[in-house]
Amino acid sequence: MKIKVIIYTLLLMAFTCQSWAQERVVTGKVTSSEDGSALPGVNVLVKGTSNGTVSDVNGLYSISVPTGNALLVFSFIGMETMEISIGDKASVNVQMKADVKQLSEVIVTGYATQNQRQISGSVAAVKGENIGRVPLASFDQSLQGQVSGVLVQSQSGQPGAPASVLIRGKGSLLGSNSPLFILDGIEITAADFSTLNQNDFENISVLKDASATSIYGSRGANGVIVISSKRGKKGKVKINYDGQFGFSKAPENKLTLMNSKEKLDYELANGNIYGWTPADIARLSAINTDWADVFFQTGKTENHTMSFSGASEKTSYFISGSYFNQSGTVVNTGLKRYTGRVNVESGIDNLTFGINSTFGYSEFTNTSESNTGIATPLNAIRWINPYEKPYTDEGDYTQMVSGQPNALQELLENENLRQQVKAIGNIYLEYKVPVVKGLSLRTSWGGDYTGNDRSIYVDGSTATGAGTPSQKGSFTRQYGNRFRYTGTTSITYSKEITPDHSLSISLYNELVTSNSSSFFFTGYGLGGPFKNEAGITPGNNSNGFIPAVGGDQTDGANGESVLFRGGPSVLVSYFTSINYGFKDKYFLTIGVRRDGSSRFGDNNRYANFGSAGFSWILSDEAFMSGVKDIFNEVKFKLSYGTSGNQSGIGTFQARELYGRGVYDGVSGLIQNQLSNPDLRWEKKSTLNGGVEFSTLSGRLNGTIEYYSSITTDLFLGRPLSLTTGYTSITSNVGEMQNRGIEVSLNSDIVKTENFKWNISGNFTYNKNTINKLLEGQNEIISGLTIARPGESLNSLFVVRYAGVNPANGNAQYLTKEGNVTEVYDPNDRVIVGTYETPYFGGFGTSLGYKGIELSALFSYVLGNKIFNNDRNNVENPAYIFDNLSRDLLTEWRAPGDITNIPRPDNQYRAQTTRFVEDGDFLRLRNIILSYSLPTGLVNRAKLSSVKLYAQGQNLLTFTKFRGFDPEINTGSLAGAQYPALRTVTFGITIGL
Amino acid sequence: MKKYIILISGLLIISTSCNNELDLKPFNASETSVAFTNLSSFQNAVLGAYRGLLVAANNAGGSAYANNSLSTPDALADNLITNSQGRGSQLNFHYWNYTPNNTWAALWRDNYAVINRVNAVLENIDKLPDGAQKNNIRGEALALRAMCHFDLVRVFGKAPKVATASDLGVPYVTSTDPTILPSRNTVAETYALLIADMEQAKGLIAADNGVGRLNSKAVNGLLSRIYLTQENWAKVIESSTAAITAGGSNLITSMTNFPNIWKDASNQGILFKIVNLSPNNNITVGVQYSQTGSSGVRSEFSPNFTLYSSYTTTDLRKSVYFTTSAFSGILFNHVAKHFGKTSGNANVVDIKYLRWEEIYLNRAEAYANTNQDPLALADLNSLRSNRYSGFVAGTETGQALKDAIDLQRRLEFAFEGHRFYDLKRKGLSVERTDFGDRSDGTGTKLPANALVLISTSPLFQLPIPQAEIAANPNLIQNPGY
Repeated sequence: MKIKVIIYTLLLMAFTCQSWAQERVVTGKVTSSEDGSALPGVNVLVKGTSNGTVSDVNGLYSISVPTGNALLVFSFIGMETMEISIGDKASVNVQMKADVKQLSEVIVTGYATQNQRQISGSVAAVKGENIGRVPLASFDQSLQGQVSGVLVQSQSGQPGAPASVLIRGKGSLLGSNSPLFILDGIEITAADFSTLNQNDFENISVLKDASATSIYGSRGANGVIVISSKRGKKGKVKINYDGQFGFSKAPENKLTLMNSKEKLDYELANGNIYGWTPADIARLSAINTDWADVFFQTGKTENHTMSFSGASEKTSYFISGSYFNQSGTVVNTGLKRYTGRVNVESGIDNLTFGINSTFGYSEFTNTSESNTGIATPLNAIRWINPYEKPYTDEGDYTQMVSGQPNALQELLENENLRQQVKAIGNIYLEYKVPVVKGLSLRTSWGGDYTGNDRSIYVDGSTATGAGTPSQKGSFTRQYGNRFRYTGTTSITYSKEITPDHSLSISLYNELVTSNSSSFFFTGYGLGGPFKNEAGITPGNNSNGFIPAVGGDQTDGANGESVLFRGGPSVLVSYFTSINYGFKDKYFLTIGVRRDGSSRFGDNNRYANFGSAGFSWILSDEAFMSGVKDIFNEVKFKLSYGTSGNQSGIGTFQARELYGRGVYDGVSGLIQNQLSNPDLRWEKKSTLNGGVEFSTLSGRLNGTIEYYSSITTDLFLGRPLSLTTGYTSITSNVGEMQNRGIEVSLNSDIVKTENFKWNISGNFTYNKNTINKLLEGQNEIISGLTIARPGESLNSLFVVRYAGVNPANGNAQYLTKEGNVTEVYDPNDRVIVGTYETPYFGGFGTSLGYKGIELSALFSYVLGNKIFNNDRNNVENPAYIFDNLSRDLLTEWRAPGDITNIPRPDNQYRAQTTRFVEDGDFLRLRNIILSYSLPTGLVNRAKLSSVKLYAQGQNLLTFTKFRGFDPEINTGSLAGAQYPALRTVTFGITIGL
Repeated sequence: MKKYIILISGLLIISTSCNNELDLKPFNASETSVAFTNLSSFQNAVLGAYRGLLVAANNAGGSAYANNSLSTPDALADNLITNSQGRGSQLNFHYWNYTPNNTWAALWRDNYAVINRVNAVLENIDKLPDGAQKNNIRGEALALRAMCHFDLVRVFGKAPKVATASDLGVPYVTSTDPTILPSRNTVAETYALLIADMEQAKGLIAADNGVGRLNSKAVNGLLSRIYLTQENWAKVIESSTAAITAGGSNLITSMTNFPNIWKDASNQGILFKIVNLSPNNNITVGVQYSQTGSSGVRSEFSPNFTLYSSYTTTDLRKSVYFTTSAFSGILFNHVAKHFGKTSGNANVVDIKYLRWEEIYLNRAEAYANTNQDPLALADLNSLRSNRYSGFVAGTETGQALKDAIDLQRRLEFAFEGHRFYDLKRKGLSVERTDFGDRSDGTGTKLPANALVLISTSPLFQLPIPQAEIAANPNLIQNPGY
């Protein structure tokens, strides 16, 4: 740097000397068009001369130009080069725009960054700004619709709930299908993001094919999501405040239930089960409780982030703090979060060192969901009779005539609080060996610590508390913590051998170690005012309040050992990546990784993974020069490689294990797992090919890709004769395939100084096929689904419902052959679709005029099926004791009735296509309207930027699905759905 | 600069020398090499086997014993009627429409899980030095193995009385090899093998291991049950007398203690029970019969009205075994035997597997069938005198005596999972009286085809689970499925 300064000074001196008399001086300021911040270090050159300068820390420059009109060229890495005619102006201010040329983008590919040009794999990038302000606590939720090949489904609208993220279909039957998440080089736990602030994220890369993921070896099969946090940039110290406030509502309900009058009439028509008198009927008809109103509320969201960032010559820093507070749409649910982050990098000589660190604390207040429990408040919305009131006239909780618990009492009197502490960080050192140019060493060590502390208070007066000793309630506290550290050390050599040949070789060693443990106690005999430890009555044999205590191997109340999902595990790896470029047009990427894992059997402890990828910049070929104006950039890429999956099975799944079993108050030993020394990774081989292009002067660019992956050695239980004492042993058998096409397009339709209009969209088709199960095994039926070779995973396997026979009101079904019958026979089950989503994606647009910007993002899903058990729960006439679907008003009553609802005393069958619905939906996932105040105005207020915005989340959903929300990643909606929030927030971003 | 290189190389060395870290040991589990080493580890393994009687191998909650042994054999027989306010559980058993895909699979699975655990003990037993403690562990393991096979064969195989030489029982498993695909032994073979184990256990097991574990008296008691099933009257008398002699006096639950044993507040009269602690285990065995909430007792099954009416007003059992209360405004009789302990969670009670009363009735039946009516009557009266207030000793003889024994057997052990086996071993049909589910015998009745199961029906032998037939091609399904 010092040398550079000297050179520049000398050069400047030289120019000044030369142009003493006949020249004049032009001054000005270079800023970024994005946020108006000053750009230091911009090269300013008088065109056609060697006369140049660079802008200073405040973006100011001063240059001597010849008299008369001249052209100034402004250039800066990552910005579009600009040529400006200065005329006779003495001051020229320039706003530089980010370079939008697709292939010049620099993308984080996991362990390294690469130019888009060189990348031969499938890597998609999401900018941090696209998710930073979305009012969802778990950042994965906001990836929905943004990237092709990535299916993001929110499983719950509970504040802080994670999404289900699936990259290019499911590759595993028993194992996990969740991608690997890496933050600043550290593996972080999937689906546990709500104590992280996404406003700290600079960008997110999604690695989809083997060329990109094989570098992650045995953890890469489900794809990898790599997150980089923000770091300080050279220039003025930036102080930013972002705050928003808003409201959430539950979505529209598409499953209508009976009102009091209808329900009472229905009861009378079907035997008057409660023996109502006419007086009762009159009294009850007047009550009409909308139980959704009782449980749903307007949720509030509040979010504040403050950040400080900047960089001096050697040191850059980014410091932020945030507060997020969201109350859910269900009473008594919510999330409060506090986070902080410090990223600092500094250096001396050739050594660079730094730290990335974040700390967070969250408080979750949750309610149970996705079950069919009678005490579950979200089921009460459907089930409680409309002629019941939540409270009696005396103000007590109503005891329902049906015997159902008063779910409001369950919700308000019981408490379920989880406090989470999360700390993620790493320190790193990088050393550029001065003697050998291009040789560098790097080591990074960091960890992900999660601590959970859950307290559950069960009030003795509630239905849940009825099972506690002497109905005195219980208090449970569960502690759990997990720590995983990742250490990566690498040596990299990169060199341009000749102008035509460039080579980069990296050798890595990595160690990932994780450990977790947990502990809980439950105390009984809660009394007095204390809903915590202080209220527990010490137990003895006569009062029965003997506390339950347990740790890792105990799960729930039974005290039995469970599979050892926790506990320690270690992964030791050696890997290399080689990038070779020829003429800056042909690129070859080779990756090889050897992983050793503590999870697997002695016979298969190590495995090798590898990939090769090739990319070719077709548009740079001489024969393409004629059409260069049409095809500005065209890149062809092809890759093949392998990766593995090791998650989703126990940490000691390969071992024979004896665990604890308590009998008569004494601990015994139980063999609960057989050994399988051959157990190994699921192995996925992926072929990926694609074209990236840019046309119409860069106005339209896009990517089209085809992939085919085959997963072999699937984890699957090989059935054993039960006479062995075991049902099955986890083995590697079977094969599954995912094939698909991904298209993503991005177009700047209008792009002028003041007016901008952009449209982008992506589409994914994924076809899942099971190729093989166990030898000789034709199918595995589990509940409503079947796994059968040749068919998709999770194919729905039910009897087809064929309406009602008008003559007698009996339900009709189709036999396997397609004939109508009144006999329900499970042998007539056929495949009627699959839970797995074949078509999905998103599209969006943004319109900008001066400081006003409107952008919208839609997401869509097509072709999957959902089993609506929530509807089954209210269409079964046997549940007449509770409220029922309004559809039952049309049930068959007399011969000749044409209806779809059988007579109530007909044998009820749930597992038919009657409850199978299309999962298709189109959703306005996010819409945001923002206004950046004019710079002049802002500067007068001594601020650098002010932006006001209003944002809507999930405001519109188009679907035929009959429930609150069609986003159901499990395919079957059991009941008690906590729907995704519809949120509107108003915010302000201020740059000080 | 040199110092940086040293620093980096140091880190490189640290990170590459971690290969030995791959050999991790779980802290909450151990392997066979350490599971069977000393006396205490064997004792732990035996406890693990008992544990299997209570909690299913896959941690699904209860096991075949804990959840169904008290209810399914009564649901199959004539003691119960499904309650219209219940959840309709166990209707496949109650209506006799079980199939290989819908059978008592847990019984098969969980008994063999326990058998596997005791086989592991027996395979390693010689690691222990000879002596009384080794003998006791061995005796318990052998007795448990016999007991589990017996519980399997009386469900899946024909009764010895009607079985031909070729009729199939269940595979008698004595190995822990996970690759075995055993064939079914015949009924006769199964009984011969389990009796051999049980007789061997008798000479090894200790006289007292606590009420939650088997001992020599319980082994004799179980032998009397097994011989009774074979109608081997002499052996019934021999083994029950051996048990009673060793047991001492006041074996039958007194009238004072009788209400308490159902709340696990007394162990008088209990020879062996599967201990189900609350809150330690919390297996809600009573939920098979009913759940109690703020709106009252909601029964899955109500007592058959004829049975209910057979308890006279002077019968202590009437008030102990039943309550009558309304649910949804309708009055029902509820089975109160499994409501729960005096403290702890509702519906959690110990499983009273073997009671002295049974030993007496076993012997009484054997005496009555071998023309020793006075002895039979004495045993019968010693039970009745502890159940009826103001009881005057009975004087029955001949068939009347046999009928009285049968009646007391049904009354005493109702809802404890005996009835179906008693009908089956005698080759009798299940004949349910046609009453409704309400407290006065009105209400919802059973479907017409759920009233009689004739004695020759193949449905007396439950089908072997289809998954097991698929996994083990050597198994032959019972006829009729």
